[in-house]
Amino acid sequence: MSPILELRGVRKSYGDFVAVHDLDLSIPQGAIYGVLGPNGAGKSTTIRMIMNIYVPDAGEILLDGAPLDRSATDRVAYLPEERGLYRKMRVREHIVYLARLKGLSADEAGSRADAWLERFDLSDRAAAKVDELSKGMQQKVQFIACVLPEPDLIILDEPFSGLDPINTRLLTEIISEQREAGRTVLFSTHVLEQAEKLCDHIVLIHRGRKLLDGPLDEIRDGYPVDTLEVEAALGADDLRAMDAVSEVAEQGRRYRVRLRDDAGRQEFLRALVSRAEVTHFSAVRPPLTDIFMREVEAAGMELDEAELARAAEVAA
Amino acid sequence: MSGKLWIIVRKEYLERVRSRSFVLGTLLGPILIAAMMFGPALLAERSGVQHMDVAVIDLGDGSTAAQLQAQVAQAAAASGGQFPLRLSIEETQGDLAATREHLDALVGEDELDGYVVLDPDFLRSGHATYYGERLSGVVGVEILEKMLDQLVQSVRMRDLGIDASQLAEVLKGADLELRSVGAEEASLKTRMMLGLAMIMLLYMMMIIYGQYTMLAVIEDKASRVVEVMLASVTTTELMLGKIFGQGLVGFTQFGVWVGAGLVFSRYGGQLLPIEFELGQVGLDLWLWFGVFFVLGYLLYSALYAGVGALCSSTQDAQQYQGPITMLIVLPMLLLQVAIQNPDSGLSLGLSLFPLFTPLLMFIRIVMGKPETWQIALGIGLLAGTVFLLLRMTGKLFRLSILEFGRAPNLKEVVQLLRSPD
Repeated sequence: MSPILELRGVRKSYGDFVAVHDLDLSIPQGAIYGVLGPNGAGKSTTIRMIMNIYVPDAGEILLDGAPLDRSATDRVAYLPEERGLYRKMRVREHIVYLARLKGLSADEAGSRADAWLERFDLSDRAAAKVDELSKGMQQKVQFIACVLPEPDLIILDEPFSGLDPINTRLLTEIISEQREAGRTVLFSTHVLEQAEKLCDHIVLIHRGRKLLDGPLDEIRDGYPVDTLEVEAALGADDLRAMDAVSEVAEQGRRYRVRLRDDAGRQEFLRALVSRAEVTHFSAVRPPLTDIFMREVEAAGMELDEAELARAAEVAA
Repeated sequence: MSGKLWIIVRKEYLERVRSRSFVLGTLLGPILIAAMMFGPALLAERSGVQHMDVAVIDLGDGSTAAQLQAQVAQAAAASGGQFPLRLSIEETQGDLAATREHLDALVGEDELDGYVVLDPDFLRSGHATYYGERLSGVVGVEILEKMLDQLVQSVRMRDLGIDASQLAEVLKGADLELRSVGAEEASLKTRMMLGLAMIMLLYMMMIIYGQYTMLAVIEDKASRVVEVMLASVTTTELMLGKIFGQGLVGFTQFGVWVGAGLVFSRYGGQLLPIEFELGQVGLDLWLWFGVFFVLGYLLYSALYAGVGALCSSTQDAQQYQGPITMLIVLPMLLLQVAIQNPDSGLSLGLSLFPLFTPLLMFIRIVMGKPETWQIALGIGLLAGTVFLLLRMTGKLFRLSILEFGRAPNLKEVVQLLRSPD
């Protein structure tokens, strides 16, 4: 698959602070491409450069091999991280307006708007002013405006932030449909679990540098099956107290456990069974969150305290 | 012009024209205009009905008083009850002091506004005395004096053997009518009054709608909708959309106001403080008004939009818009220079400065007769400035959104301004 979008050596700095270091990205046509990383990693800056809102200090950005310019605007849709709509406009009117600016006829925009409003359960608010909607609803309206023109490339900056689980699922569903229709979706998120469910391809960014880049399956295949999923009648601290255990993370009713390098899996299972009733025990590849932490460690770029605090905040 | 630009213009126009504030403002205008046009006449009519009751004491043979009363009765009949003076004759029975005492009492009781005593030889000397408590209702007194004048004059004319109609012919004054050379129908006074009214409209359009444009630009930044818009349109399209959209809103509003004024004037309202027929004013004035109205608006809305582009909040903008507003107010202050000496070198120089051209070149056209090349040069410079400013505001907007992360250096600014959006 040829890339629809390419970034070559793109760099952006604010004063002395380098937000994005010489970033190379290649977004395959028809993929769901996740730009991942903690807050402040440089995701939004990268996306804004793609959208020609910020000008890169160096490097080039190509859409289908040609430099990105204004003629491309009808092919690309964008959901900014800072959401914004005209507050006094009516919902349907606004969606039609944005669709017409993407080159759709008024009729076509109108009929598609009705269908999308129906799907997002917003039909009864079609005549309401944007002002009168909740934040979540406004976000849905803006998402509709993005996908309605059926552009070749859809760029979503943190599309899930602030959405409830039901709408998160609806969005996930629609993003998957876009791939089936042959469109490319690029989205950023700091919630790695989200990306894990949805993406074909990810890039992991930390402090403006690329840590990992590739198809999600390939990335995970590159890691050994070294993570245990355990469900047993004992607490996390009991697990941590065991000699063989190096890390424990709670995940619902289960624990994700990593063992010390020299510890045997069978010995650990035996020890576990001797202590409590075990209802689930399986070995899996590490989840994306763990992969991220390992890559950060390997690159010698451990999170500082501020970053850890932010990560904890996000996790909570 | 791209199709997208007109989609933006349409949205900007409809959004404001449908807003409650616009509808209210537009409708309130004609009400105020009607009040201004019909109000003074109505007020005058109402207060005119107040009568003044005056008694007359004729110390002569009584014939003068009778003549006076006949005159008043005639005038009252002619005016249809609107005549502000009512006369009654008071006989003295030889005792003037007693009669006056009686009349003084009546005046004190407000039964009478006053009384006039005609000297025995009034028709010769012309001397009479008015006694009243207040001199506020002077209209009646003035009329009374005029009537006495006529009485005395007619007697003197008769004595001198002068025919009244001959005298009227002799006293008929000169009538100096002011007309401008070339424009056959146009009276200079009408042209000036209408021209000044047009200047007021120009001024209001530039200052009010210029600021609306600024606010519309700031709204996009404050509501953060700008990033969404820029994913579809260029900054230049966005800025031009705002400028043209708000401009059309202004044209609509001013059109309604002027239209209402013209309609009212057909139904007896007074549009200007002088009598005038619209046909009296040359078409050229309307034409130049149209040209400067459009160019003047574009000039200042582009400047205000530029201020909006650089500010992120209305409070910010409040500070920066001052200089722009000054640029509109300043030529209003300089108007006097151009009115007194429309064709002087100073007037010419000022009117060729593009930021002053809309107001000052127009008033020169109203008051004087600037040479064609001067008007052409003024409009040329103005149009060129407008064109440059319209191009610049888009770039300026772009510049203010792009976060360079540091002050952009001159090279980058120049590069950006020269870039094709």
